[in-house]
Amino acid sequence: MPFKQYVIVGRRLPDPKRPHKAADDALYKMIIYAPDPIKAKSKYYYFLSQLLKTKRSTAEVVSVTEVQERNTTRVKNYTVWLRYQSRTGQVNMLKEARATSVAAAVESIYQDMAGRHRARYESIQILRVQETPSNQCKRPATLQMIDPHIRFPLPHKLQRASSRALRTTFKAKLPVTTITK
Amino acid sequence: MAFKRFVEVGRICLISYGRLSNQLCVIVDVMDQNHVIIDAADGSPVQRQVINLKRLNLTDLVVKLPRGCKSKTVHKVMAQEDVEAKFAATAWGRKIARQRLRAGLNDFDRFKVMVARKRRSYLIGQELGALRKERSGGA
Repeated sequence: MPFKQYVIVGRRLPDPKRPHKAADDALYKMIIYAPDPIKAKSKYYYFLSQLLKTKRSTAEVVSVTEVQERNTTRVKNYTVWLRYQSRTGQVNMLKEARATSVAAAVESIYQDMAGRHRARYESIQILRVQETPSNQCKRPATLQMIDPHIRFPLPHKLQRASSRALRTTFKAKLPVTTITK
Repeated sequence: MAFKRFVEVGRICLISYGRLSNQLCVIVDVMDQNHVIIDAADGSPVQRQVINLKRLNLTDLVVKLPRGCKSKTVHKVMAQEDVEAKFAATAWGRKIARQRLRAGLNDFDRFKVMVARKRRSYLIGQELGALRKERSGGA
């Protein structure tokens, strides 16, 4: 499920029993990355409860807007600051991703965190995402892709059927996966 | 054996999966080791897009392109270099053209092909027989 970028605005619901405070007039706007608006709202309520003493029943979401990104066919380098709950404690991290949109970059970061650190969606907080110019990237994995004359072979390739209908479980011939051309 | 085909900017590829399979395209940028951005000649159904390398087959052809260049430049270079004609002239291109032609035949066309193939076999057999006869007669 591809991730999307949402801008969510919400507030704490006024409570007649409680004295009116400045926080009651404030609207809280957050950028949330999630696969769908339901999960995005869930994250929003979580973050709001970190800022104010609220829960789902004492807060409301005023608006959920999906951000449509422009120019999604240009590769950009993104730096993502995140925080996650590992098995031993909280870890802050800076990661880099190459993607064509912010949402895609965040998605790849979630995948990477799951693969390398076994960290799931619930235990990861994306703190900040920023597009970084090539000369300011740090991570070797990004730097090797930035190389202007990048060139690499595909030493192992499995030929796929050209459509799902043509896929078969058993083949008459053993596939040749080593392409030496 | 050294590799001859590389994932690089300007590499002409064939899409191998889905609706656009067997369409020519060119790599305009490399995103990561599994994904590249492709574009194609003007009028091609292939839009500029991110594609997984698993869905691409690399060809021997390469054109000179600046990395991450605009579609307009790609269209210009693809037309200038006459990539489509160059690919069509290769064995791979001819094979795809033949497959397309065969796929488009109707029942009568297929019958005509069958008759032509029989005719060809007959002629080859005739010639071979004549040669055999000549050789055994001469020996």
